[in-house]
Amino acid sequence: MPSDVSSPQLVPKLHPLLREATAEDPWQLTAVPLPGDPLVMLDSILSEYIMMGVDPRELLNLFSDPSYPVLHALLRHFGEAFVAQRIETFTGPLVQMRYNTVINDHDSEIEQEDALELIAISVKRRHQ
Amino acid sequence: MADVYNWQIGRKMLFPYDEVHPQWQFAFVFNINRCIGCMTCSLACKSTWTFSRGQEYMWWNNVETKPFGGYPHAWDAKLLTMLQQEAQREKERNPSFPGQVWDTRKQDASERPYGVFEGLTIFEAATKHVGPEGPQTVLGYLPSEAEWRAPNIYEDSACHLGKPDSRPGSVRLPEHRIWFFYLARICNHCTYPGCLAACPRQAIYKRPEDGIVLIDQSRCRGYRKCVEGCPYKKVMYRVNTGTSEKCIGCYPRIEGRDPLLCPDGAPIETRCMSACIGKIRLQGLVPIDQQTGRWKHDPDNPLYYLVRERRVALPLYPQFGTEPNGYYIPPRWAPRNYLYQMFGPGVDYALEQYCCPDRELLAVLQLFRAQRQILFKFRIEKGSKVGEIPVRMPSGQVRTLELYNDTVIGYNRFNKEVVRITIEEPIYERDAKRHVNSI
Repeated sequence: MPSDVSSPQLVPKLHPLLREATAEDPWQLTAVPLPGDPLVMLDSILSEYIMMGVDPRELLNLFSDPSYPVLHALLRHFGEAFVAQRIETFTGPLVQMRYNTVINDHDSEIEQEDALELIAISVKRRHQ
Repeated sequence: MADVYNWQIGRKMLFPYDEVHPQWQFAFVFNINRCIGCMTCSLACKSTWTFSRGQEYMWWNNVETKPFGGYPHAWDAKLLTMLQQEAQREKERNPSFPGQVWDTRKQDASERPYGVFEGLTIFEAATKHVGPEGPQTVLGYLPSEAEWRAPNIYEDSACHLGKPDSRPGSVRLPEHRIWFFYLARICNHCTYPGCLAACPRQAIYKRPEDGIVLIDQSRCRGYRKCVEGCPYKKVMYRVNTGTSEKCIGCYPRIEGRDPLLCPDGAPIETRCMSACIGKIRLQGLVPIDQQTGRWKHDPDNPLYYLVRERRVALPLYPQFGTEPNGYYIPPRWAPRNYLYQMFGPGVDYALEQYCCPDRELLAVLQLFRAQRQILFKFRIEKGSKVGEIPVRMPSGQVRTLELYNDTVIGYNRFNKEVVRITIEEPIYERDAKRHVNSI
């Protein structure tokens, strides 16, 4: 975020996708120039989602999807092969991990079918 | 001005009204480590409450990218700068004034969990502020229309849709080459709300039953003092009604009055919480001690457990002094100095706890978005050990996370079991390619 937000040219009338990216364009970080480690960022996100029981292939698909900018930026930074290999390092020790969630809602007629819902989310390791 | 106690800054502070506390307090914990910025929460709120004419730029729930963005633009950087300027003036007047700093030597787990904030809150800074806008009850500013107009602009430019330059008119946008994280925000339903303090009409009030902060639309005259006074900029002005509006905490759901979702009257989480696909959100109600105004000791309440018992979730900008009731588990990968500024001095302890959680904390963390009913209590049934995972701590040190086949059970307001989550034992599958008789 640029520091001088009152400057009128920082509020473009055009959609960003339609604008030309120029050298003066304030896209780059100017506010907080603190160093960070993208690998820590990647590892943290991977471990969160693996621990929640998300399938490794689904997780890699999230990284491939430009709609998830933080994940996609990491994929572009490290490359797909590296991200896939990092996912393996997290799923490896467990081989398979899954959570059972039993949701016991109230017994209304509308909710009757969902009254006892079993959701099994599994992480399956693909043997190479 | 009255003297009120703010446990988050560990001391009494000035506030325009006497201390009055609700029976229960609406509170929530957001786990930033899990947020991938899908915006489902923002759209869930928008499509429920702010879809009408005059509400076009109203995002009661928004997700902004830190440190690049904010809604309205640079809301926190601006107020932090204003506070810093006031502190500087105070230091010139009074050389013994330490500035906007925390004294962590005075930490006390129950009374002052983050130490004592020695600087000026927005209420205290306002009493010293002299400016062209005249006297203020709360130090603040009125964002310009331009700052409201484009949430998320300049935040994520990491990619464009499709292959590079494969679509006519598309451009390859520059990428952020540095860490960032998503900060989901709603009204914090503060214990000492800046909006409430600033309102000259006393149109804003805290509900005694659940602490939700509301604007009485019949009293509001649209002076926008609340917009100016809310440090989190979560009150927004609606031009076609001439009044201000804000997050209402989905109070029909909190009251358990939605006939479809809660026929038995059990409180339900808000729309933004229920819609979260990343499971970053846990919302609840915590009981308040009427005598002291503090949270009643209730370690079986998941919110109390995370915020007070384990101190793994921290308030957003506690130094503002409003005692916000929204708490965040800080991101593991962001530089500590940035996190100290945003969440106070409790960051190190919180991340130490979170990065390699013990079996009890790990079980409670599974309750995030496990049930749409608000969980008032949890219980853990212990199981056998099923594995170990190496965990890289922010310091670079590698620790071992022990995983147990524990079961965490969540209970609703009526003490009825509504969710049960078990970590199952590992299952080994044969590789189909190696065994011809595999199915």
